[in-house]
Formats: sequence, structure tokens, C-alpha cells
Amino acid sequence: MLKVNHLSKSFGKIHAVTDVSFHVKKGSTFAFLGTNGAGKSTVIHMIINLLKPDQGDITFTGGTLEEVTGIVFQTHRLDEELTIEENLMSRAKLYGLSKKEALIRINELLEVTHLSDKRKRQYGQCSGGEKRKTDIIRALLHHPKFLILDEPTTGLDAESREEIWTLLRSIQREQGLTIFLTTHYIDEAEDADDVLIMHDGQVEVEGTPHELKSNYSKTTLRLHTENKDHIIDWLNSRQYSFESTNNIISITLQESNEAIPILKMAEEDITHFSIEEASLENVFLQVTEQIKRKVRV
Amino acid sequence: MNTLIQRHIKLFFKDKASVFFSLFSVFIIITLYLLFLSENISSNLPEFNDQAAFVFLWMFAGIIAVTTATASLGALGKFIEDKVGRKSEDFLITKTTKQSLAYSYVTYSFIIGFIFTALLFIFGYMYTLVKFNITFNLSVSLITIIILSTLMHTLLFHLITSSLKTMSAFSGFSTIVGTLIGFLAGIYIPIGILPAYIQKIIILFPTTQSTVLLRNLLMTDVLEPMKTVMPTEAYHEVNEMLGVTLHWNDQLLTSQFSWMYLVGFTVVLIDLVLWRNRR
Repeated sequence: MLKVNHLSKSFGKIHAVTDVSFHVKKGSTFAFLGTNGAGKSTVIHMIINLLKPDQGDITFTGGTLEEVTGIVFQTHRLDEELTIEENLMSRAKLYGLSKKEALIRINELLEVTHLSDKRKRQYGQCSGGEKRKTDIIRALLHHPKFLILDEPTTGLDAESREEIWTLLRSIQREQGLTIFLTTHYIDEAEDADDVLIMHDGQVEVEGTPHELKSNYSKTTLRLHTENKDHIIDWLNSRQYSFESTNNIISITLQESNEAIPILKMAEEDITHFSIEEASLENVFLQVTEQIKRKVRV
Repeated sequence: MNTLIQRHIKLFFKDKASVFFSLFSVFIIITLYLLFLSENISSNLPEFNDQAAFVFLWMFAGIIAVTTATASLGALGKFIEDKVGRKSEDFLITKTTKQSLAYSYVTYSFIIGFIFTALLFIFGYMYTLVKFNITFNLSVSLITIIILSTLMHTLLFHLITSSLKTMSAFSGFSTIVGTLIGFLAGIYIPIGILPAYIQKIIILFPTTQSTVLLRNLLMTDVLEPMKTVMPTEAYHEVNEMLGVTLHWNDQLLTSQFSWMYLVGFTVVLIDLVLWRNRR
């Protein structure tokens, strides 16, 4: 669906993006992560042709950039003074839709997003969630196949975030969309098919969430006990990797179900336990920590 | 492009502050006229029947010229607002090109400038008819000057504001224009009482040429009666002092010169705008 090859961009002496390459598969969700200033926005601006790359190329399949791509910008771009309907109508016309076509599409999307009864409401008077839903409708007006979500849930409460994601997933399922996501809420990228983490304008790591978790984040079982010796002997005999501090034993696992035999064995000796699952959040923290260490060295 | 123009116009009229400040210079001129300008100008004129109409029309021609500038500039606030709020990006990801986006702002601010000037003109026409029983000759020249002056100012301000990056820079620029344009077009102070070098600067300023052409056309009916009550030399002196006619080193600048200057200036600006927005 999208191929980015050896993309580079500098602003004066600042190298914003250096030799970035990746491939987004049709129908997939691609999470494009990175710390602030990592170069994510610069890459997005080059993808949507608002910035010209110094080097490299970007290829879309399935039509021209305008036809194929829809984008939900990080900040709201619709007109506060106009109603939801007026905003959507003006943008639909800019994609070349006739008034009739635009109305049909707007009605369809307002229905899906449960905003039909708010169509005459001024955009500036909408709640954060309603504004975001309208932004999503605006991005989908011209039936794009590739949807760019640039931090779509920033500033929303947990309930609205959940609502937006339920909506996005159902739209993706029904319309076979490819989603390109940047977000600071790393948990939102857990369901992605591919994840790329950028730092300082370069690709730091890339892979499926499973691959990244395997490499950068482990599941940890923590046992709180007054009788450590018995458990430590057992763990040593089975060559588990663990750490012991005070009354806590932290055991590193590949999968969370490995905890079951350990808990059975230690049932009599532990006061309580906890399991910290491998997560993209941990991957992200691990990768950024690794970068910081590299920088210090 | 029509969709964008409609959108800009709709938003402009929803913003009451933009509408007010587009006419702010007009309010200043009317206030000055009511406070002292009318009396001040009258004191330099001989007694004749149409003296009050003479002063009003002198000021009114200035107001029309200034409105072609300030109304267009006020409208361009939307251009900066969209740029600062990065709304332009939202247009550019559609089928809209950078060129058509830029021309949509030029066309829209021209339309706003023309609407405001036309409304003020209609108001002045009615007022002159009711108060002084004078009707202007609605000639092609008159309408052409209004269109040309509005277009020239729109292009000029579009070029200048294209390089502005913040709303405060735009507000600052608008304030400077709003304050200076009355002086530069010889409306707040009669041009003839200023030092020669300032007069030359004012003459080079294109708004002055619009003002002079408008004065010539709007004041036809009041210039003739004044001519009959004054010696020819004194009549020419008063016209020169009030900026009804312009002189460069004692050489009279004709209406043809003002037309050519205005048309030439506009053509250069068109070229510059096209060049700036080239693909």
C-alpha cells in the first residue's frame, strides 16, 4: 500500500529524517512511534506531500495521493465557526464530490459515528470527542484506502478514547482501510500489525508487536514470600532467570502461562504475587532507555 | 476554488471583529471630519452655495479610496489565520493546489473589498442626494477606478502578508496601514500643506492616485460652482492644496497619468503575485 524508501530531510543543519525506509501492507495497522522530535511529523508531512524529501521516494498503490489518503491531524483543522455539516460539505467539495454525493457520504458517516443529530452544531461548540469524530469523518469523505492518524486521541478522556478506537476498528473492518498511526498512548499500538520506533530522525527498531516484545520486553512474575530458600532452589533446578531482593523474587518468563507451575509449587510459601505482562509500553521504554545509554557512552 | 472562496466569505462575515476593523479607518476619517476636518477645510474655501457638499465629497472620495485598501486588508486576516492555524494543510491534502489556494484568498479579499466599497458608495450616493441634492454620474470610469483600486490593494497586501507568520504580525501591519493610509492618501491632512518631499512620497503611493481620480469624478458638480466665485489662479491653488490635482515639480499630473500609474502598478503586482505562486 505504501513504500517509503531511504527518505531523508534536513532543515538547514538539522537532520530531521535520515534514511528512513518502511513498508505498510494493505489492510494492516502500522504504528509509527517515537519520542517528541523523533521526526514522525516530518515523515508524515512528506508522505502527504506537504514537504519535499531531500532524498528518497514514497510510493502509494491504488491511486493518487489525494484519492488514496485521508488524514486526521494531531490538532483540529476544521472551522470552529461553521457547523459540522458545513465543514464536511466544504471539504467534500474540495475532493470533487458533487453536492448530492457529498450529502449521501456525510449522512452515511454521521450515522456510523452517531453524530447525525449534531450535524447543525457549531464545530467550535462540540466536545473533544465529537470534534475528533468529525475529524475522522472529514478524513473519510472521499473513500480513502489509507488513513493516517496523527495522535488521534491526544487530549481525550479514557471513555472518549475507547469510543474513538471502537469506531476506528469497526470502520477499518467494514471498509478494509489501512491505518498508519502515530500516538503517545503506546497501548493503542498493541493491536497493530507492525510497529516502527523512530529516534532522532532514524528508524530505531521495527517488527511485529510479538517480535518486539520478545526482544525488548519480558513477562515478569513477582512472588512475595517469607520463605525464599525453597523457591530459589526450585527455580535454580529448573534454570529460571530470576532476581531476589528482600522478600520479593522476580522471575523472567517468556509467556505468562509459564507462571502456573511456579505458582503451584510456591503456593504454600507466598503471601501474594503479581504478573507484569510484556507490553509495547515496556518495549518503548526499553528502546528509549537503550538509546539514552548509547548517547551517554 | 469557488468552494474555498465561499468558505472564506462565510467565515469573514461570521467574525464581527474582522468586519468592524475592516472599516476602522473609515470610522476614523468620519470622526475627524465631524470633529474638525470639515471646518478646517471650509475655512480655506471661498463662500459659495455648494461649499458643504464640496468638503463632504472631498472626504468621501478619500473614504472610498481608503476602503478599497482597508477592507481588502481586513479580509486577508483569514489568510493569515488559516496559515497560522495550519488549516491550509487541510486544504492542500485535497485536490486543491497551492496556487488555487493562494488565488482563492486574493479573489475573496477582492470581493470583500468591492462589497464594502460598493456599500459605502451607495450610502454616500444616497446621503449626497438627500443632503445636497447632488447625484453622481455613475460612469464606467468611476466603477473601473473602484475595481482597479480594490484589485491593486488586494494584490499589494497579499504579497506583503504572504511573508507574515503570526497573527500579531498581521495585526501590527494592519494597525500601521490603518493609521498611515489616511496620511499617505492625503485625506487626514490636505497634501498641499505638507513639505515638498513628503508630497512626492505621497504621490508615489498608489492609493493617492485612486483618491485623485475619485475626487475628479465625484466632485465634478461642486468644482464648477467654486470656479465661478474664485480667480482662476486661486482656484488651481486650492485644488492643488487639497489634492484634487497633483503636481510634481510644478508639473500638473493629469488624470491620464493617474490612470496609467494605477494600471501599471496593478499589472506589476499581478506579475509578482503570479511569480510568487508559480508552480
